Amino acid sequence: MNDCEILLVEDNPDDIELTLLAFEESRVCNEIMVVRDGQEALDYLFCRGKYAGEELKALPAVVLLDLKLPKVDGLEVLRQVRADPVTKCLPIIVLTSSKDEEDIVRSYSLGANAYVRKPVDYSQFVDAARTLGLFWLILNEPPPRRRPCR
Amino acid sequence: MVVRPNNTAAGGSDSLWARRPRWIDYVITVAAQLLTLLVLEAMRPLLPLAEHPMLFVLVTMFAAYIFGSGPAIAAALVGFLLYDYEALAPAGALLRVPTDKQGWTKILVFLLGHAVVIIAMVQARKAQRRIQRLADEATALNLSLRQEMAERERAEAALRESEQRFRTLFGSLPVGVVVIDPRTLRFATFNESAARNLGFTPDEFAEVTLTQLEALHDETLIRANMARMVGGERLEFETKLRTKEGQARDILVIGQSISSRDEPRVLVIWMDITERKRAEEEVRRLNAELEQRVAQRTAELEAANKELEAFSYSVSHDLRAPLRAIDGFSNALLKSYADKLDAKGRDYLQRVRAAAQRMAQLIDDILGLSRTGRVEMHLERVDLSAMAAEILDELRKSEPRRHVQTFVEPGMIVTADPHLLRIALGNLLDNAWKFSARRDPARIEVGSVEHNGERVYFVRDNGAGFDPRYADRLFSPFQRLHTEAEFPGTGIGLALVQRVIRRHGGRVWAEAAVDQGATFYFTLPEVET
Repeated sequence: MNDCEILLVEDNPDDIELTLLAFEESRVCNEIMVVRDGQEALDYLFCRGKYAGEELKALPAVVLLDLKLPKVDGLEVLRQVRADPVTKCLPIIVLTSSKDEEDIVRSYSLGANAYVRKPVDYSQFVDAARTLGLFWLILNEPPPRRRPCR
Repeated sequence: MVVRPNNTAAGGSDSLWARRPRWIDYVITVAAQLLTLLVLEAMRPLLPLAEHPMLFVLVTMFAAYIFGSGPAIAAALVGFLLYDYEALAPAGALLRVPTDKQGWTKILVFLLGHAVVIIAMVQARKAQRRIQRLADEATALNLSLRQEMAERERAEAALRESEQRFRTLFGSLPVGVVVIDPRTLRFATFNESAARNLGFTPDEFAEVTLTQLEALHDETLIRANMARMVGGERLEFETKLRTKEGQARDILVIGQSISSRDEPRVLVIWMDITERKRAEEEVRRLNAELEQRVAQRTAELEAANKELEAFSYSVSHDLRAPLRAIDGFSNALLKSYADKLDAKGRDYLQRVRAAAQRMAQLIDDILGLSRTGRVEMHLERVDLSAMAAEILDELRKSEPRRHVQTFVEPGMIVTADPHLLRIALGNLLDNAWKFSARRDPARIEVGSVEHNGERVYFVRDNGAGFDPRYADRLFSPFQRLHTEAEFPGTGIGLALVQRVIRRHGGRVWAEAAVDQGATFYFTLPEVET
């Protein structure tokens, strides 16, 4: 299947590279779609903008969402995704540098499924990537992923 | 000076004389007649004229005058019997009944003459007595009149004095006192303050009316107030009056009627409260200004706090990202390109990674310190002993191979924010644990002492201690007394402890010596929860 397993919403190229490296190293997933801002993430999920008119496509198994994003920030993405009946059950993991209590509370109250802080120590990051992949892609039963694009 | 009749000295003999029995009068009278007869008989050879009976008549006259009609009649009879009057027959003749007409005539004349004399004298005596009485009455009257006059003079003097006092008081009162004729609205009486306060001379003030003075010249209102006061009401209110120059002054007015039967009058006391009002206004204005300034400062503070939060957020988010890249790519190099690096190169990369991770730790600590200063406190009763035991237990689990003796005084209950207190106590015990690492057995003690009526808590270890010269630098952020190699740490722990204890209103200090262990003391003021 060609559909992506993971949608990574991240603007920092270093973080993208490291995240891809970590998942590669953890060997749990090799299908990762990267979008670089909140608007692009929404376009991708709702088949709008440059993703409009594409083939019927499955939703990702899980979304890794940074909070601090250009254009539309992570919390707004979360809000819109949860507001749409098609994507409201989509597993979304907030993956961010922030340990701010307010960010954590607001993420959960907007319907995030998990909140993971990116560790500075790369080894810990690889561990985190492995754990995430194991849980969300293998252990967890995702909601139905197929849906027609508008 | 009251004049009294000057008869007090003679009063005794007077009263004795006045109290004599009636018969004394008769005795004296008869004795006088007999004395007169003796004198006449003795003088007969010398003075032929002494035969004249007028002396007996004289005695009778005196008796009538002094003793009244009774003794006078007795005197006349004695005289009549004792002597022969010229007009009558010689002595003893009267014992004989007259034989002729002439004899009866003589007797008649004698009797009538004496009767006339007696009546006249008695009347004279009565008249004299009446005159005396009238004179006495006049004297008494005069006396009482004089007394009354003196009394009146005294009263008048007192009145004058009192009036003078009142006038002085009235004139020197700092408040204006005026008596208003409610019909003309002019000032019937006023003191100098009333005029001067409004910039008038007393002469000018006598010419103005209340309507001219009242700031709005509202005669209807003035008359209404006058009517109420004349009607018996006592009014107290604030109003505005104009000075001669037209400047408005705030006046507190207290007025009431002092009308007499035929003249309505209103007494008004007024106080110029312009300055007081101005001061009050000033206080109000300053208060408002202060409030505004406080609000402004609060807003500024809030803005600064927001900015700080944004800054902290940015620090935590943005400073960590490059660190992740440094660590991550160093690691990638080590893994994927290890064969292209020698041992030194790999060591350098390890150092790069260690530095990045340490910096990440520093960032986290700074944020923690900043948060500790900002989070809201929720005070409650906290079991300090239980908390210390719990933390020590965790430390023991983290390094199960270390041999540490711990002593925690039971039952230490404090009022504190449990979350913040745990940060403080955790850091103190972390330090004790860390700096006693080279002792075997290490000893950590948590307890309290009473000092100057205050409970002082302490955490004591037998570890490395420190040079007491640097004790005051201990609590500044990033100040370390040991090298990272000796004892790892960022130098933020004690700064955190101090911030937490200070936020609770307490103090924290330390005692130590190199290699003698350290004791950290802190206080937590008891507060009502």
